[in-house]
Formats: sequence, structure tokens, C-alpha cells
Amino acid sequence: MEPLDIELDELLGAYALDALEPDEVADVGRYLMRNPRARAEVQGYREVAALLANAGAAAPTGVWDSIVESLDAPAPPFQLERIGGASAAALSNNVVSMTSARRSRRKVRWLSTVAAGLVAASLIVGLMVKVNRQDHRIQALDRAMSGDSLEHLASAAMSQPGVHTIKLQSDVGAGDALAVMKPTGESYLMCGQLPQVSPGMTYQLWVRTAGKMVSLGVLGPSTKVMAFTVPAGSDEIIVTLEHAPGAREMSGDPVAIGTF
Amino acid sequence: MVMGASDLSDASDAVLVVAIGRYRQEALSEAYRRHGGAVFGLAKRLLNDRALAEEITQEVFVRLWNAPDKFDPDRGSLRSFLLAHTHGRSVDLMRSETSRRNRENKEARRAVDAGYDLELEVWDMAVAEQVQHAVADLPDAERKAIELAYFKGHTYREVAEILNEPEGTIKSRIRVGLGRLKRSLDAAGVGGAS
Repeated sequence: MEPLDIELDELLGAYALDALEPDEVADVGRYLMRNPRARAEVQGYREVAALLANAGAAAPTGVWDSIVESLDAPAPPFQLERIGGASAAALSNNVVSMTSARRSRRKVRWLSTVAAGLVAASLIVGLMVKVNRQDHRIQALDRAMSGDSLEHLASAAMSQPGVHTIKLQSDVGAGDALAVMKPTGESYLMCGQLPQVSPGMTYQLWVRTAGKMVSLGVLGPSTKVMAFTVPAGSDEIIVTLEHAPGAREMSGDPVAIGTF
Repeated sequence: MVMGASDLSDASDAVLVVAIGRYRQEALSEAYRRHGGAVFGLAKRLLNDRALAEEITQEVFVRLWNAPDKFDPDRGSLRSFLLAHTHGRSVDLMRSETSRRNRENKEARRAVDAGYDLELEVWDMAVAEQVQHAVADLPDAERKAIELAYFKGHTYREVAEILNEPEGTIKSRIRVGLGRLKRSLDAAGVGGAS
């Protein structure tokens, strides 16, 4: 039987101190998801606990070296030409012992070209994976950093003078999506109730600028508010459904369209 | 605009975490400089083992590097976020060793009987005085319950057993005591860990 809210409230202090049994942790966790007041109460207790825990000592230096050693390498810079060229040269050194010098040179050139292509392709794939991972990380961070704040900013922007609002038209239930644009170009898309997307899909925001579709970012499967800047000369804003993690060029079906 | 390493020493914790999200190691270094001591201190106090405390400290900061988006500045300070993780991991480690826990139960019982006081254990150059006052103002029963749960890693049920009190009484004391501390520290202007 599910505990009553009043019973769960009694557990909040112990929850903040990690002093609950596992089954109670799950109950309180569910309660916190639906109760912002309880979440704030727990966070307040955690701030208190942080003050109690504050030892005020210097961070141990030896540990920092261990931390650095175990960090993931950052995403590499785009240096395809240099890396690809070096790898192709290294591979070509392995194929120069053919019997016919001429045939050998042709074959070496051919193999070098193929090898260089394969190396470059694998590097590109590797880089795309890393860059994509970095994009995910940054987007997740931006979402975490913005969250409720973005909703507040978007709501506040709506009441400011000179703001232009556009209601996006949709025939898939996204009709209450609204773009709010400040005179500075700073804009917000308030998605309302976009339908839940199937796994592997994501919403993506585009504008048409000088006849070209330009991506303004990926909304994810359930973003409510997104901040963006409208490029000068844009005349249309479109939300499409794309394959995750997003498309370089618009290829999915539009789910909402607005005209400036 | 890209901030240099020297700029990060003045950056807020939220800015640091954004920089960490962009794989800037100097930002993690600054976060470690600010909070590494507190993280290590709490882990060491809970585990009473320097090597394990160093492992937990490493884990906490590597986690921050790998998943900075888990930190939400709207929901509290970076220090409380890091310390909450430190506490959770340390307690997990403590509870995974049943024999050790049993031994600690006995130690805790002796400690309570000896009348240890939390305020002597709590110090920080900036806020020590206010924290000590707030803790000193707590009723003994609430202070003991919080001490055993937070610094000894016991569940409230274990605390109830140690103090020979009903479970409901203990969970209520923990909550009421934390609420009392919060109000007191808020009034003293140190309600949020920096």
C-alpha cells in the first residue's frame, strides 16, 4: 500500500541524510517527483548538511593527480587533413615491396588512396561520435542549467514591449506552440504540448533564411521551452520531427510552422 | 567570449559547471580547489579511512566531469550537491560491510553514552561560529539523532535502536532538528553552503 503524503513528509529529513531503508527511498523518490514543496524541503536540509559537513580543510593534492588520470580525454579538434595525411603515409610504407616497380607504384597509389579514404572515414566516424557525444553533453547541461529558468524568461519576455509573438500552425496537436521574439533577436519557443515522439526521434527547430533552412537546435523528445536567436532575414520558423540526434539538413516532416 | 583559467577563480559555481560541461579541465581543478577539502573531509569522517576517502573524492569529481548536467544550480549549491553524493557513496560503502556496521553500532552506542557533541566536530573558518551556535541550540535528542544518521551513516531505524526510542520519534526528530538548524542558519545569513 502506498504511504500517505503526511507519512512521506515525515521521512524527508532522514531522506536528506541518506538514513532511509531502500524501499522507503523509492517511495520518497516518487513523492519528490510530484511534489515541488517536498523537493525544496529536502534541498534545504541538504544545504544544512553541507554546512555541518564542512571540514574547511584544503583539498588533498595527491587525489587531484588520480582524478586527472581517470578523466575522459576531451573531444579532439577537427584536424582531419593532418591526421588523415599522416595515417595514409604510414600505411603506404607497408605496401612498397611489390615486384613490379611501376605496377607497384600504381598499386601503392591506389592502395594508399583507399587506405587514406578508409582511415579518413573511420576518423570522421570516430570524430562524429565524439562530437555528437559532446553535443549531447552540452545540450544536457544547457537543459539542466536552464530548466525552469527558461520558462520564466520566456514568460517574462512575453510581457515586454516590442516583442513579436508567432503562433505556430500545426495539424498534429502542436498548435499551441508559440515563438516569442524580442527586438534584439533573442527568442524563445514555447512548445506547449508537443506529442511524445517515438524512440530514436527528436524535434528540431529550423528557420528559413534567404531561402535556406537553417537549424537552430534540437529540442529533444520533450523540451518545453527553447531559447534561440533568429538570424536576420528569416521569414519562417519550422519544427520538424527528425531522427535523433538531429539532422544536418531538414529531412523530417514539419509538425509546426510559423511565418514572421 | 572564452574565459581564461585566471577568470575561473572568480567564476560562480554555476559558471564553473558550464565550463566543465565544455571539457575545461581547469574548471574542474577550480571546483576541486573550492570543494575538494570538504568532500574529502566528509568521506574521511564517515569512513575513517584515508585511502577509501580518497577513492570517494576521486569518484565524486570524476562524476562531476562525466555528468555535469546532474547539477542544477536552481536546486542548491555545488557544494551541497557534491557532499550529498559523497555522503551517499560513503554510506553505501559503510552499509555494505555488515560486520563493520555492527562494530560501529557498538562504537556509536559508547559515543552517545559518552555525551559527544556535534558542535565540536563542525568547523569552517567562514561559518563555524554560526553553525556551532545553531547546533548548540538544538535539543540534545535532535542533535544526537542527526549526528548518528549523518556522521555515522545509520538509518533512522538503526538510530532508533541505538537510542532506544520509537522509530517515528527518531524520524520526526531528524526532520524537526534539520528544520530548526535551517531556520537558525538562514537567520544568521549562512543558510546556503557556498
